[in-house]
Amino acid sequence: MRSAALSVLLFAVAAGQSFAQEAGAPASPAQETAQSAPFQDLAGQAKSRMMADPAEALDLAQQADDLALACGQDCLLDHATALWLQGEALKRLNRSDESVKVLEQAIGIAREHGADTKLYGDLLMARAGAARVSGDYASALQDYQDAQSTFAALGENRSLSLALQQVGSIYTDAHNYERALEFYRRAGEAFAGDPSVNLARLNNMAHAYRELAQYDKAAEGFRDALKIAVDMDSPMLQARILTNLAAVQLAQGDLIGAEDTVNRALSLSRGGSAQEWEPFLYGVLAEVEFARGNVAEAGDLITRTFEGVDLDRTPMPFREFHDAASKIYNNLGQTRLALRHLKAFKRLDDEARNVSAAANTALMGAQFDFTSQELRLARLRTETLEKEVALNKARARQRNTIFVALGAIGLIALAGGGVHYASMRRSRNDIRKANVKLGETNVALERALKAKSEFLATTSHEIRTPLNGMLGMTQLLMRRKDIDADVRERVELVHGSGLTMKAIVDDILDMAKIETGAITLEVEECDIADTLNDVCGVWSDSARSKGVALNADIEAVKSRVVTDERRVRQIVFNLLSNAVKFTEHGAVSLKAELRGEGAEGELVVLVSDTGCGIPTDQLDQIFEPFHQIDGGKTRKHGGTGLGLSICRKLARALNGDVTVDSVPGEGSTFTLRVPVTISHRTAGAEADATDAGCILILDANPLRQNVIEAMLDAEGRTLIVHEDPLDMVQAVQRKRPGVVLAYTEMLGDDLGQVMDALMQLREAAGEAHIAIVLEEGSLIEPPMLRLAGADAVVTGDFDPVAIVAALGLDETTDKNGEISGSAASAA
Amino acid sequence: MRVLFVDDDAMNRRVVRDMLLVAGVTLDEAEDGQAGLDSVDREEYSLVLMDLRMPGMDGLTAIRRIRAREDAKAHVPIIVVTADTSLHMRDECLAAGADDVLMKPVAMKMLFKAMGQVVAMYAKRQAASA
Repeated sequence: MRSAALSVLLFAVAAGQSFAQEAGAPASPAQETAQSAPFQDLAGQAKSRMMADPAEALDLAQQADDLALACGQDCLLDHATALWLQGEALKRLNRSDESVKVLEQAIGIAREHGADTKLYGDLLMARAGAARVSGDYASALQDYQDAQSTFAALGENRSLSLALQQVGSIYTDAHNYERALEFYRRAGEAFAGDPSVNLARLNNMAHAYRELAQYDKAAEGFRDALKIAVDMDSPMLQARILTNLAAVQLAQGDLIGAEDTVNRALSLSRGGSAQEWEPFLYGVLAEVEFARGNVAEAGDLITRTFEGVDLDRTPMPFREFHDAASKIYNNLGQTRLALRHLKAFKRLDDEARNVSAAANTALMGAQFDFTSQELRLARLRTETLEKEVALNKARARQRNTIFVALGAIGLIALAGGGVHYASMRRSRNDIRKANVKLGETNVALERALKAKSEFLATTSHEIRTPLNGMLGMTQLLMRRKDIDADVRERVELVHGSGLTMKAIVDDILDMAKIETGAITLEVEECDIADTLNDVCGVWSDSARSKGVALNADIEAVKSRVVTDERRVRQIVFNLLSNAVKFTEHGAVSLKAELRGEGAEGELVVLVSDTGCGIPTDQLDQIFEPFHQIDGGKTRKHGGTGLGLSICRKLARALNGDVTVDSVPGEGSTFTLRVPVTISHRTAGAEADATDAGCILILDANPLRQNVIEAMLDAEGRTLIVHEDPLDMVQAVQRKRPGVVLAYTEMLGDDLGQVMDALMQLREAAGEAHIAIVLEEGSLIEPPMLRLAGADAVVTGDFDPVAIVAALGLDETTDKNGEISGSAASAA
Repeated sequence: MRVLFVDDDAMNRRVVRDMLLVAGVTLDEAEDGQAGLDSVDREEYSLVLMDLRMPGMDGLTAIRRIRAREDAKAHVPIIVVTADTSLHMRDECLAAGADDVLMKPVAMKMLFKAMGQVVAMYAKRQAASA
């Protein structure tokens, strides 16, 4: 049995109460500017009317704003204050869009002119509240954290406590109750001087204990909260807390206790002050009776809970009672009604789970930063402590002086001195203890940081190892020509999934590296068109299987450029991955160009899709880590939400950027721009005439190909590898190479076949130099090959130096009889 | 061409064995650093592929031992093949005497490319000193 419902209501209490409390205060310390008395007056009135009559508060705030605006430059912070009050009022009038707009404006002013004021923190809190209501947990969390540090720096402990509580409640939303408790505890440490704040905190802590099934602690917490509510003389709060307490007692099996507690709440509500709470009290009573087996009574009570309520539109607090109702009605044989409640329960449960998922995603992002944030907090604590130490030392000095001065006077003074001495010693002990504690905290934090990086490294290692087996085997299978098309397709799918998994692991590691500034760039000359072709190849299959076309236009970048090829590949990979992922119909296209004259140029890659597009107000946010537009899509599309954030960070590391243009409903275009050095421009179209520098290698052995490629790497020649013996001749005719290197195993199995094939090659190759590598132990004689048209023959084991010499690239290589001197005819 | 692969994971050994078969290379296998060291002592290899994290003697130690026993002439090319992505791993491998480092999961193309480069480098070096 769960009751997230009840806690949600109490969170609202915390926020509302804080504002009411604020209203009582004459003026917050933020407003130290040229505040005129009339302004103060209007702002104060707006605050005090906020809860009761937000429309009037809005009007008052607008009047205050007029004053601030009339006052001009000196009153900018007053202007921001007035905007804040308008925003709060608009929020309460359910005009949240306008509220957010006004708050943004106020934050802009405050950031510029008063980032170190309480007002700025308050504004962040207000915006966070709005973001949370609209489900944007990532922004809410960010704002709460910023507010937290603003308040901490100002020593605004009450506000700091509220900010910490809000973060705690986000953890509660995410069902991470241990962490929530930690934040509530910290909130209590920061400030405990305000009953209403304490009440909310104790209640929320008790709720967390309840979810952790620590019922004794939960009951104790609710009882403590209840005491405060009694002191505050608030029947409504008492009724709510009593309901929470009853739920715990129910969970403990204490039916009599639960009934007593609910009856106590009912007597309060009958007093008239908490009537709107009654339905929930009947709900709890219904659960008590149901647990006792009194199904008929339970049925009557639960019916009262839902009296006059539209079952299709119930808000979150009803969630648990729908669950109870469906069980009770089912037991009573009223299946149709039971089903309706079950549906309503499911609707609210889905909603709660969405909230939880969104909160979790946001927190995951924050947790990456959690340890470093802890360190910052610890540092902050150290500073405070140092200040305290200095202060205590100063005080101690003062007391010593007094002690010495008064010492002579006599007995009374001595007695007093004794007290001072004791207090001095106590304060030293306190400091020592605090220092020890701080040292321990730092050690613990270092351990946590280390554990985090070790965890990441181990996870990565453990995932990569099986992936190696998986991807290795799929690669080998895909090479085979004898498998059916449908088997091949499935193997390709496995392979694609493996690659995606690898990309996710890479992303997470990269994010960690970027955060610690440990990312390294490896800039070298590369063929960017090859890279782009590769990446398109990876995604073309998944695009095709969705019925989406993947068009690539990369002719314009057929040049050697100097950049970090691996990073460019990674960025384009991510952009294409997103484009394919979010496009259901139409096409994804990649267009690449090199801009600029001479050696300094700019590589521009545009990745466009015809997907769902991105709402204008989210265009910036999509580059935040862990962000995906529309929480609902997350589950459908998967992924870590790190991709775009990494893309942008990597692009910026390369002195470039990734930007986006989007029309919702029509599609998006992501643009990568990276400055590159262009080392060698090649003409787009391949020459028809013989390309003397071009070497065509006829070989199906990938290792040998790579060795020869590496041997020739520095020579600046075009190297083409052709693997299929069936259309060798056509390849020669097409490429018109200056040099042909062929292995006899490509030419045929016996002398006749080899001679035939070689003669055809000779004819097709024209004047080109032909080098043949003869396998070790072959019965074919080198002179016969020369007769059939070979210019050079290499025999024996694979010897890269001899093979390169046989290509006749220079005339000086005439080491032995096997390597022909006729090499001069080529090149 | 004779290649030795030192890796404790049987699946990984199988994958590399099958990949090298595509290039017609047969693979000798060893399950840890010590076994790898013994094989290098016993046989003459064109290339050694070495994992890092292994029970018993790890890859880095094995590479250092191999290099310590070699003279300038008999120098076997070593490529590290690892799933370890830690920050200074690559530098440590190169400092220990490895010629290149490959990351698991290793693409066949990358494996052959790295092998090709290392083999070519050694062939050139040998030709120059001859």
